[in-house]
Amino acid sequence: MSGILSEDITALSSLDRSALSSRDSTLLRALDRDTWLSDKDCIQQPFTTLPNDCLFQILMIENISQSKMSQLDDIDNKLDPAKQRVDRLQNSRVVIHEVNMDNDDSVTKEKYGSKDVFKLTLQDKSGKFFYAINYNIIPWINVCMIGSKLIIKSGTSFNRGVFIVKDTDCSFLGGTNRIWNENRESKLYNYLDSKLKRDCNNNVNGRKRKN
Amino acid sequence: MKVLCVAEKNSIAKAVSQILGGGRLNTRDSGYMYVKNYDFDFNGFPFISNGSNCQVTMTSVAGHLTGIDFANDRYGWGKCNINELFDAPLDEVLDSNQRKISSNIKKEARNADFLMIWTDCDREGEYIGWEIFREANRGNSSLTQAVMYRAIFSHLERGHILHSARNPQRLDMRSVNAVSTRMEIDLRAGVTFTRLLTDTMRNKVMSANGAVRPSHHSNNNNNNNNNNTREKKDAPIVISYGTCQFPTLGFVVDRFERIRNFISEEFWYIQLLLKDGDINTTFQWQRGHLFDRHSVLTFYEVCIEKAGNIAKVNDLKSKPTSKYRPLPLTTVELQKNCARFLKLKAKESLDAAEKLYQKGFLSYPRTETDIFPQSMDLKSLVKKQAMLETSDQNSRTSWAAYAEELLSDSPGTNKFTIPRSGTHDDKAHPPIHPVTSLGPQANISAVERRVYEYVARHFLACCSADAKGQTTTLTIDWAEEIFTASGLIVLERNFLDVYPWAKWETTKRLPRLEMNQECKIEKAEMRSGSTSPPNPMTESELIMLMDANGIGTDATIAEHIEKIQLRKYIKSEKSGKETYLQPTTLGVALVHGFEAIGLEDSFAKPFQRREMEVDLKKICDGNKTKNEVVVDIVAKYKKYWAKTDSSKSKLLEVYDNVLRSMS
Repeated sequence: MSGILSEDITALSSLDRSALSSRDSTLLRALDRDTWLSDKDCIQQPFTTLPNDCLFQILMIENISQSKMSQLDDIDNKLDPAKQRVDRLQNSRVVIHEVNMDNDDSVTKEKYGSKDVFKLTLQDKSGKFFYAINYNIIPWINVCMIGSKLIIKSGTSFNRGVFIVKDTDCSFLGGTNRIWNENRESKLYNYLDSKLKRDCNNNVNGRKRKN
Repeated sequence: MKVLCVAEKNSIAKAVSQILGGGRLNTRDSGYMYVKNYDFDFNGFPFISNGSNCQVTMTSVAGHLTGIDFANDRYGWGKCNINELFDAPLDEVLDSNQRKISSNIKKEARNADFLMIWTDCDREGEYIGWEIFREANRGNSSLTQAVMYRAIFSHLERGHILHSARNPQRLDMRSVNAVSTRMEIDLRAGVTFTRLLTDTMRNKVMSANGAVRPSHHSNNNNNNNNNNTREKKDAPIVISYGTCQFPTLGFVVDRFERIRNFISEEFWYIQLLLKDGDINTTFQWQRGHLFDRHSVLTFYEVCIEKAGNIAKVNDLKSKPTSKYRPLPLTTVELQKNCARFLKLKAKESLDAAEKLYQKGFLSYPRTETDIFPQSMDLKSLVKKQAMLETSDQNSRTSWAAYAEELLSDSPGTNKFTIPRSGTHDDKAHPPIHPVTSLGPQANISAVERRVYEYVARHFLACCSADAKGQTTTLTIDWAEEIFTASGLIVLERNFLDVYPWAKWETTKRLPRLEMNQECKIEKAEMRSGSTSPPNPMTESELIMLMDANGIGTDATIAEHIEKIQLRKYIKSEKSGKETYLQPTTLGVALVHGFEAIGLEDSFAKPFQRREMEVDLKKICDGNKTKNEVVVDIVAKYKKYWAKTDSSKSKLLEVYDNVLRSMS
């Protein structure tokens, strides 16, 4: 049954519904529901709340508290620490040439539990896109895999295509999609980079128009 | 019995002689214009038994007494393969002035029974002490290490100097070895890479600068025939390499590139305005700002939908707060703050502090220590600043009354307080502090006067009470989104009165609201802004970066910055009140050139130099030997050199690219 977790929910074939755990039945209930707002443009939908639990898969996770430039810098520094820019104190991490294998403390700390806001791109089984932003700290949010499954519970606030999700508004089921996660960091890099360049061009054009 | 004392500079020799000789001294010429010999009697050295008459001659050197270099006839520019210089023997060399000083020391040593070193108490001073010992021993072979002593002192106050004379120590040979390690590595790496870079890039740089003169070719020939100095006057361009210069340049170039590649990004945020009578207060969103308009709009619309224009007081905190007085003053802080507050260059402020030290006004200005030793009588130093003996009010400094108040019994909150302690102690020198007060007719320059005032005010601030205030933070909840406003009331200014550079002021009053009270939002706005690039590097920021990364010592940081300006790798640019450091085409090209070769780790970045500093520290602590470190690091440079030598075309190519991109 947990096979669903590594599937693309928009392309599910028939399911084996025998021997269900309680978690499986929650998942199935959310999956079997008719899709929400299926005949509407959800961006036009003013404030409302979700009428029943819905299953989504996570397609994209973006940190919107950090600028794209600083995220690109972070990835650069991680991929090639020797080339990091050293003109800032907080940036000048020592290049690690040696690792003490007896010491476990050197494991890199993720920015776990930071107050950053993340924007998730979600998809339901009909292929429809939604967004979600986290209201408070959600522990799994910056470590989860692309393709993870998520149930958003009924009653969650929704406004113009975006859910505002508290940790208690959702159950995270985990799961992944192997292909979507391949080279994830460099995909994210390219995504941020091209978005940045696009915005930059728009800005330039915008300025030109004003002139 | 006869004791020969040698200081690092004549001014120190003179001041110490006056103290030890009790003012009775005979001055003789030394054969070198800027060094004098002082003869006097002093009966306090513990290595001479009481009762025997002890004559002292005190003289000095002028910085380093010797240098190291390669033999020019064999290893001069163009006379050998450059990479031979990694293993070539080193000669001790003396220039004409050093020779004069050296023969004076040999001569004075001839009749001496003891040698006492009075060089500055730092790593460099330890090494100079060793140089002095070698020369003295050459003049009088009975002056062995057994009869050599070392005075430990950090300023020229009388009691302190007498104590130093009565409690001599030994020269620290580990520090001597650390300095000689650094000198050898710097020389080998410096000369080999300077020659390689200059030979590779000189013509290219000259033609790019439009400086190709008809005589250019013969100039070059000239150099090849006559290359007894590395930096001949008519050498058109020297592209020098130094193990500290390059990382210093790297910081400036990295900042330049960060700005050059910067793309401004738009962000959005929510701001609330509350009105209480005629006072408007702006509340800031706890989420700061987000880089996604759609998401901010969602928060904004949901808040309006759920709570309309009503917010609720969520938290109201009022707590005492302090603005801390500064930590005791180190060299790096001195240079940084003189750059920020007085707009002085690092080298200017350090030179001024050095002069003030030699004239006896300040303690030794090269120190990493930000903790005052417990034994120090700080009150008496404050008392000197109060200038109580000066009856003419006009002759007192503008901070004398403050110092007087600090010590007085009159009521008030701001009384003498033991300074805060930092975390650095170089175990050699206390933090920089004023030693004597400064009269209006003191013979010092305008810059020295300003630096003195800064040090004196900083010192008094250290000995004062922290400023006290009350901050109030008001937190309101608008449909579960949190917004805050805070206000400050300064209650006691204390040290701020003597330290005008620290800003801490009472802000506007907050609206009168109580816990859980509902309040009407006057205006809720979704606003936008955009990120802006960082400022170019300032000198004070560069000093901090160099210090944090272990590039150079507190004493040499200023020289390295000066050097890369002289080499035209960076230039200063004024913009409004601030002066920024910007790299030149050559500077950018060198950094990116080494990146292109794959050697950024050791050249444009501070990592290699930092490793070397760690090794030097290990020598000082007795955990490594000079030989180990030299062999190890020189081997690395050999590899880097071979790699660079085979990538010369890359350096030139990068230069062309940079030239194009920067024009």
